[in-house]
Amino acid sequence: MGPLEPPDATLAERVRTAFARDPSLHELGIRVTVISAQRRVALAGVVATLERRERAGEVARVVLPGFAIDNDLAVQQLAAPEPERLP
Amino acid sequence: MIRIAAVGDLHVASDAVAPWRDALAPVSRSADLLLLAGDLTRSGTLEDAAALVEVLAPIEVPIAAVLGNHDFHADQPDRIAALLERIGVSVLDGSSVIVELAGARVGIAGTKGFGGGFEGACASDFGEPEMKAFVRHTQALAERLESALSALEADLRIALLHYSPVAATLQGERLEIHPFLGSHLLGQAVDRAGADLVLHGHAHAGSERGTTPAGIRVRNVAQPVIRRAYNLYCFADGLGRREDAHPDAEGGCRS
Repeated sequence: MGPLEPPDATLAERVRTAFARDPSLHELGIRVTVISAQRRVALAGVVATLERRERAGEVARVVLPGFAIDNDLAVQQLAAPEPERLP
Repeated sequence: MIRIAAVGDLHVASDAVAPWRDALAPVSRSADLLLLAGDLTRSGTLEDAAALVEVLAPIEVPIAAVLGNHDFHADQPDRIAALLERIGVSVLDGSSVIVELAGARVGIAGTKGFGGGFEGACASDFGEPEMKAFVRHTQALAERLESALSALEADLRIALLHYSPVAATLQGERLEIHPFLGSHLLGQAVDRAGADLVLHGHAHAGSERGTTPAGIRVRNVAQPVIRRAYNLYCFADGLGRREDAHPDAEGGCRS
């Protein structure tokens, strides 16, 4: 019997750690969901640029080779403000 | 009318200069002051800081900022602060600045702040040196914030932080990570010193509005929370009279 495959949450944490360490990302807020049974990893949240979105997909692919990447990351929208009046 | 633009967690690097520069351009027309609540850069490198300078240099209103944990990552916070100070940004680190706006003195006291958690679930100044260092870092920053705020002689006093002073604006974040997102010591410091508004960032999944235990307004202006380039907080000239806000075409304040 071979070694047990780590639980999905452990694999997700490996991806999150890689996101935090990667110099092109340093992203701490990406939500990672791993479903080993389907060999899939889903990424969700918001990053600053399209390049960082794509980079997150590449990093996840390196950490979990053979997994399909569902890259649902959005690129931040920098809309105009809605003022709040304070006394 | 005093119009204060605020945002945190810009995470600027060379790949994000143009969108941020364009998004912040209206600040020069629609606000009197820009406050930045930390995590100004992605990685805290000098390259990131140079990109940040490109974003902020065209802005024509006074800017005050605190650094965040990302700005410390490359161990060069002092050099980042120096680059920002060179273009006129006041980088607050347990210190304060006063800006004269519309005949009023607006005082801003700022600190990065740090973690430790909130009432009922706090880290203690006890045990291993690493644990004591963690808690004491927050204690020291909270004390410096309280001193800086208390000493401010201003018509409007604002506390600017990166880490949160209250749990209320962390709503949406997992409870398990609250100790890494802020500390009640910061909230207590603000309540003892008094302030008209507290701004912070850092908690990307938190919520915008809360109050300290004494009832001072707290706003989490982390960009992923406000989902805008910045928020605009408008104080009436009398600083005490409440009026309705009407956004103008650029999302500015008008009477």
